[in-house]
Amino acid sequence: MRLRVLKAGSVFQRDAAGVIRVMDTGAVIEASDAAAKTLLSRGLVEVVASEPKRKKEAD
Amino acid sequence: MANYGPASAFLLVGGRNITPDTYTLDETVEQVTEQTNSLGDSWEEHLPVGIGKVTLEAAGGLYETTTDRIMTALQEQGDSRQLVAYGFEGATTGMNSVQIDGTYAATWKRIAERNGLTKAHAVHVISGEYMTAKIVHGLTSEASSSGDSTTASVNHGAATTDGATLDLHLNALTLGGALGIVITAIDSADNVTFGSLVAFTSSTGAPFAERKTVTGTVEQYVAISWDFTESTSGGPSGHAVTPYVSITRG
Repeated sequence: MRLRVLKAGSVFQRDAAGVIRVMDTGAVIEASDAAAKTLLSRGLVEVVASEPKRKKEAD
Repeated sequence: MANYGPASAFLLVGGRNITPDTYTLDETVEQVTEQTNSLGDSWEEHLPVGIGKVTLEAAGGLYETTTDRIMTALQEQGDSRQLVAYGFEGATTGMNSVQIDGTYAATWKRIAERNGLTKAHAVHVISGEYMTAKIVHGLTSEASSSGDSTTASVNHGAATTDGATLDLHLNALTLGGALGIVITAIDSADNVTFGSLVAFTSSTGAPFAERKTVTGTVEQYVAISWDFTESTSGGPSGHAVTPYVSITRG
């Protein structure tokens, strides 16, 4: 699930190298559903809406 | 199964580490019972009243007048409310310990001997809930301006929805120009993404101790983060902190 961090210093995530990064406000992260559920319930993140699909142009 | 020796025992009172001043640490946990046998019974019978009692005896240590050691931790304590943490498996992350918050009456003794150094002896009858806990961050020093203990997060096996009680004992703190330090407990469902669980009050000196209680979900993995608050003149230098944090879930 794609999430946007709302509060700097409140969300931490391990990167591909295994190093934990502290997220700034506005940072977008990808989190598992289980992790996202708690972060959302605490108001630390918001869901990033997926971009709407382009309309097919009329022939 | 594991066995433990004297090197694994520790005692913290209000953030003060008085382990070096203690020679014997004797914990007694008992249930108050009432005798319930009646006329006609041939044997005594007892039932638990439902009240527990904890007695902690720190005995035989050297009488030490250094600031924030055994004298200030125990003699001047009286019936003041203090957080107490102790354990027998080592003050290291992930180990079992006990955390208590309650007023306690101390029997304090100073014992001078003809052929020995003066000793100190303290007996505490603790008024407060006895909580078995897991150590989230042991008595080790951290010197980075900010950081976390997620590489050694404590795995509880599953999340709980029953909340938790967390105790902080700030044993040593050198600000090195910083305005203070904030210790935050963080938790995670997958040990990859952590969120803030609860922040302890910003501290400017040690010893310092504080208890925080949270309700609701506490995830499977728990760790801490620390952050020195920078002053306007720039980041701290020569700073260090020794934060002991333990958690009791549910």
